[in-house]
Amino acid sequence: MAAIPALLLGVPLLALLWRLPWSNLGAALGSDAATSALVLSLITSLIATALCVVFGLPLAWALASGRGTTTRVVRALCLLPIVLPPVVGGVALLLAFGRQGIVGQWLADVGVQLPFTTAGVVLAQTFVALPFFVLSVEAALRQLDAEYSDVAIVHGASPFRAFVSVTLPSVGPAVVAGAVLAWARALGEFGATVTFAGSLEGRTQTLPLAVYDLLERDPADAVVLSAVLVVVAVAVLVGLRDRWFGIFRSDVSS
Amino acid sequence: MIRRASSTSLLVAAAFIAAGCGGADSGTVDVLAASSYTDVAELLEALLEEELGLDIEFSFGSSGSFLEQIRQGAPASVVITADNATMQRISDADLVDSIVSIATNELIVVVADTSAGRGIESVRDLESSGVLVVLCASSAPCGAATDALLGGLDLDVDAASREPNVRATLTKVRLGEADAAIVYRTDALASPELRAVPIAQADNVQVISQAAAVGGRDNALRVLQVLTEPAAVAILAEAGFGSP
Repeated sequence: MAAIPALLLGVPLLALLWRLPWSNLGAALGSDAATSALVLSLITSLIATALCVVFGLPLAWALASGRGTTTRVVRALCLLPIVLPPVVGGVALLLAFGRQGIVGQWLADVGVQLPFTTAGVVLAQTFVALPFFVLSVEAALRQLDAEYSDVAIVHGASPFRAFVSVTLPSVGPAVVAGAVLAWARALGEFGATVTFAGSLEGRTQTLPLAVYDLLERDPADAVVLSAVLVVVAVAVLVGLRDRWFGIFRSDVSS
Repeated sequence: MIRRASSTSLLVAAAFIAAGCGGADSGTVDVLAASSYTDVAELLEALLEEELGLDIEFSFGSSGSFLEQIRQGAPASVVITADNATMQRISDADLVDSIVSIATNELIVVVADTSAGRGIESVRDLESSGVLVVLCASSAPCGAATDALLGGLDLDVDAASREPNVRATLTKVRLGEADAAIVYRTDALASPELRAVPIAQADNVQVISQAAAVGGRDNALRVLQVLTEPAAVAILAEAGFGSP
């Protein structure tokens, strides 16, 4: 019985690799649509990951050290993009940051436009990826012995200094693992991107959007680009194989 | 652990069985239609059900995706594409027969009530900077027609996005996120809150929408028959489609 779900997960991936047009590989990857999607996806997903780290670290720290109702509400908000269908996330982003959105109309007044821009892609990716980073790091921070940073503070370090020189190094692996997870999620983002940022080659058409578009024009090329995303996903899994469960264990510093 | 694995398999098996039950022999005729039929489908569905006594089920998508969907066994008895070029590709793959032209459509500019939108009087105004224009992707029939239109007029429109189908294109203007878009005339009629700017007949591109029976499916020919009868033609004309 266990074989059925294993096949359900495994067969589609094998089918993708099986149908890969090997002779056509170079041409498919070298086409204008493919290269601009690859470059755009790399740039936007890396920026989104950097934003996740910069904004996610303080948030994870606040969640890990907070108790009370506010913390629980904020954590629930943090989880929301994980369970929300991405296309709904895109609609929500439009209503918030679109030209007619509650925040977007103020942005438009000062000449900042997010929908249909590369910045909009980064925003959509950050929106869906941030929870993965925050939850990874928060789990590690929670399991950290607070005594170490307390000792540092007693010995005269500022709380910030204690965080940077004591806490951060011990949760370093979780930060890296969270960043890689967030990057993989950003790279694969489709629904929120197409809804919020649209699809234009070189500006907003990321790899998954290019796959969708190519499927209607040139299915063989779509298979090649899909395989690129599979290879990336496998690489992430291999890279994180030691950390995958490690971030949820108590001995994170090992 | 074993308990959990087996209950998961049971769930998957149950899903397969449930999916199997909705198959071809349940008396339902599935119609796969181009997204431009979204609004008119309800009336067509009612007409077909009344005339044929069958349960008719419409589903929508970009015509460009139908070839692959049918090839992979989508449970459609009848397929309706937005243009004849797309139907030709499906026919070339030997997936359909008994093709009939059921309607024509043409392009039109729809404009949102925004400051840039209010200034648009002609399709040529889409070229001006400061106007946020969205168009259909070239892989969708509306995008192919749009490319032909703009090419014929020698216009260089800097689109902010090429959306996957005509409805997604229309939605961006309805939400006010884009100032203007090029869509089918029927889409403009379905969104009366948007101002429509017609394109001169001599410049416009006409698409011929076709229906066909998907190989070996029962009742498909009867559906095609009804779609070409006066009652269906009247419904399509009411929605803004032309007669082929």
